[in-house]
Amino acid sequence: MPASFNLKTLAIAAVLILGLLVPVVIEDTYIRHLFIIAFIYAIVAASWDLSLGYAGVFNFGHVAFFGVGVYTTALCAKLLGIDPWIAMLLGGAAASAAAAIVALPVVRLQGIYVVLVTFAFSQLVLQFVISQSQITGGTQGLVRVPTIELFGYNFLRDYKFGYYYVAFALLVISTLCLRYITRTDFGLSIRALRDNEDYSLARGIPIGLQRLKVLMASAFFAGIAGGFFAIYLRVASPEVFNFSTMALILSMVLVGGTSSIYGPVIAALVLTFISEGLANVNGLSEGRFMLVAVAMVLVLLFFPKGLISIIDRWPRGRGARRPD
Amino acid sequence: MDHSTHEAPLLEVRNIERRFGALVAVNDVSFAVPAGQVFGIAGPNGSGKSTLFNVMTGIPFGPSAGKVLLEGREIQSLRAHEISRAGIARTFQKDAEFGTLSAFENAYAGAVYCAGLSGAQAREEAHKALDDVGLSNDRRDKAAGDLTVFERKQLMIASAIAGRPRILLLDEPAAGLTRPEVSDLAELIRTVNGRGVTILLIEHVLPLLLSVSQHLLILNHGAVIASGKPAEVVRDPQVVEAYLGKREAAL
Amino acid sequence: MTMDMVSAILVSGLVLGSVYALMASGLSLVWTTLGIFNFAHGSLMALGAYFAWTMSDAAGLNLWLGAGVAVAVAGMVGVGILIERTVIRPFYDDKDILLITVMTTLAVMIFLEKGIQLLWGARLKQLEPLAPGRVNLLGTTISAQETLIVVLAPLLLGGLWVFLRYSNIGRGIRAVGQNPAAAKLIGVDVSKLFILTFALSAALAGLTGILLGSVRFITPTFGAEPLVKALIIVIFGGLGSLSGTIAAAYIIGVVEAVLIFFVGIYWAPSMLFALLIAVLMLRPQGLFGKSVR
Ligand SMILES: Nc1ncnc2c1ncn2[C@@H]1O[C@H](COP(=O)(O)OP(=O)(O)O)[C@@H](O)[C@H]1O
Ligand SMILES: [Mg+2]
Repeated sequence: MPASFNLKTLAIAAVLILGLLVPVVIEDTYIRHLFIIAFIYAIVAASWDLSLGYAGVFNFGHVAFFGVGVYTTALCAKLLGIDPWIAMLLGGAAASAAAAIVALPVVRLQGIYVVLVTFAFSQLVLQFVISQSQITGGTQGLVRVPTIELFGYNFLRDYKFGYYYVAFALLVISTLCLRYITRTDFGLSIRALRDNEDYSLARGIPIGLQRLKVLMASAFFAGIAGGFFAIYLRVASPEVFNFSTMALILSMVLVGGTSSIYGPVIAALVLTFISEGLANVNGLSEGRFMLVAVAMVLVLLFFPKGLISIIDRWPRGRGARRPD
Repeated sequence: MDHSTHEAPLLEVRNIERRFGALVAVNDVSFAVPAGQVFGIAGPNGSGKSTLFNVMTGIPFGPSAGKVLLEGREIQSLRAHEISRAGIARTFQKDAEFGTLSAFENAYAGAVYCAGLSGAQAREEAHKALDDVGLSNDRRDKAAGDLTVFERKQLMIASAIAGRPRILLLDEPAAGLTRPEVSDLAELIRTVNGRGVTILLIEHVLPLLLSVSQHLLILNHGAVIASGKPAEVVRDPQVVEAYLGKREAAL
Repeated sequence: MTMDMVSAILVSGLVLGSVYALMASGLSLVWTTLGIFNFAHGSLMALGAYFAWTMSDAAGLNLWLGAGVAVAVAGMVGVGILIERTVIRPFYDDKDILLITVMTTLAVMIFLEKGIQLLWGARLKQLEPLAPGRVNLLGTTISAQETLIVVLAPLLLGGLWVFLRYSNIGRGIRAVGQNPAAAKLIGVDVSKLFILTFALSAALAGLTGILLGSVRFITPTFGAEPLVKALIIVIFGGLGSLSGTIAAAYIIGVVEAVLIFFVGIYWAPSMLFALLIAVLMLRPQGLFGKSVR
């Protein structure tokens, strides 16, 4: 056990240091931009994994929670003049509140009906945003969202140096929080109810309440990511609700492997670079989503547990440990 | 064993009924279980035994009519997980476990969410329960889904008693076990009962049922057709006809 | 409120309801038979409309619209078979088939949507109406094409019902839906019926697209909005029964028309969702559904 523990700490430390060094080594603004976007998607994908992978809630409205964060933050910062940092937090809170509304019916439903309600919810949020165009800017979106400031530091003239670190910090914090949640008793109970609902009830697990909590928690991180997305790009546009955005992020969860948190994070990094790289290839700016779709099907066909299951196989074999 | 009438029973079921459309799966069933008893329930397939457990625990549904009292308190309108926490732990006829959780975590979940323990206390309770059912130490880190049939039965009982229940409802625990395993199971039931847990046991394997129960209730078509001392009940002509008759005819 | 208003709302509710009924019955058919939910249904609808457009429009092959309809339906059958083969069939034995096929059909939806955009471009297109001119219905004047939809939908659905009830194949499909294992035992070719059902539902989607394609503009995402409405309908009606789905489709059509009339097109979707949540709180199994499980 100590050996694998050290190995893991080392790996995490190495990743952290690498992450901190990236903007020092890489001066290209566009590459930095890709990292930032990838970090944001990584938070969305990893938090989706909490409700979809760990708790087994067939939540297909996760990208809408991200969108709720985007719009709440943008509106708070722009129209209400709230400090963008606070607005980001409000984005997370609003996403949680939206999740609570969805949870009302969802905790009482099963199977496909959960998929349908969450999916319908995400589309209705989109229609709502588009229809309230006096406030949200409709299909045009909201532009000129105020951006963050930290001790007078100007984020706009540093070639995305500062934004990179904010995004990186958000990713590290969310990943740690998500991992922590999965290791608590609460984390155990959501895996239990995923495995067997009736049996969970028979062991005293309040499954409705746990589902509500897990949806709210996972939406919170998506909402914060959305908030930062709006602050960083300085726009809020209805594109965030697109099926394509959803497919891209879902493919990150699938490719990375559900119930792992790290898997979706890694997949988000890789897939964002691939997808953005393809976007620059002539004629692929839309066509790349067809490739994403094909990739999703292939992963489901050949690696149903995600690509992380390949890596996952060997350390477990070695470190088989006994309980105390 | 004589039930003393002056003392309230630990568990009482009054005029319980459950309908599925036109079908009355449980029909006006009443009985009382004193603390400390092993209370056997038998009846042909489809006679409503599992449904009786379902409506008592609210998993997945409550009764259409009637009352369930735990120490004199009505519990039939509590929510399912609250009934479990109130001290009624059940197992299921079909295999039930948290398949991707380790055996230890299965028991631990019971200790945390049923008994309300946490941290080291919950871990200790879980290990104690696993010790009680005799699941060996080196199997506790295995995913529950990878255990053998017998180990899964052990685990099912362990995670129930890790929740420190007052009453344990066992639904055909001997199904699919070999003969030596059945006698191990009988031993296990006696051990758990010896620790003060009252047990309701649905079982098809009659020798097991007769060897551990102090009281036997027979259901047929959802209704109680006999209830009393096991040795007397099995001689009841109605019971013989409804249930045992088929068996004897087959022998 | 005058009689005119009532009839205007009713007629527009009927038009909406008819389109939704056609959409949702295809979803319900696939659900009851294959046990999967097809998220690509909306893009199949768009694809059907594009097929017909290519055959019939002056900018396309400029053939008679009837040829367009025929080719589109045939094309949709082919596409349906292809989809069933590639993204559904491999998972029939998987215990997570429900979740997996949600994802694979979502992938198909994206694939078709983007594929259509690449092939046909994002420009708006419209089909020649099958029935030109205007018609007076219940005192409200609407286009003949909308009348055609209102008339054709019950006919198509009635045809579907007769087919499921009285033809051998239809009876086989219902048997498979009720109990695949038993159907297999009595010698029904389950696998063939699955393909057939899926192809039938794809053809139904294509036809819906053609009917709607001369009332609305065709775009690559033309099927998205009807799909969402169909989702709401099957949640209301329960997926399990065709008649429940169809009834729910007409109810939602009229409710939507009423909402649009009273609260406007902006608030209607949110109100509909609020209504949906309220219904689900009271009856988690939907309005007509029996207890799910
Ligand atoms: N959820 C349900 N819906 C409809 N009928 C049910 C349901 N559960 C049980 N039944 C019916 O109730 C009767 C009793 O079933 P059950 O309690 O499982 O019998 P037993 O456990 O004694 O074999 C059977 O006829 C069964 O088909
Ligand atoms: Mg039973």
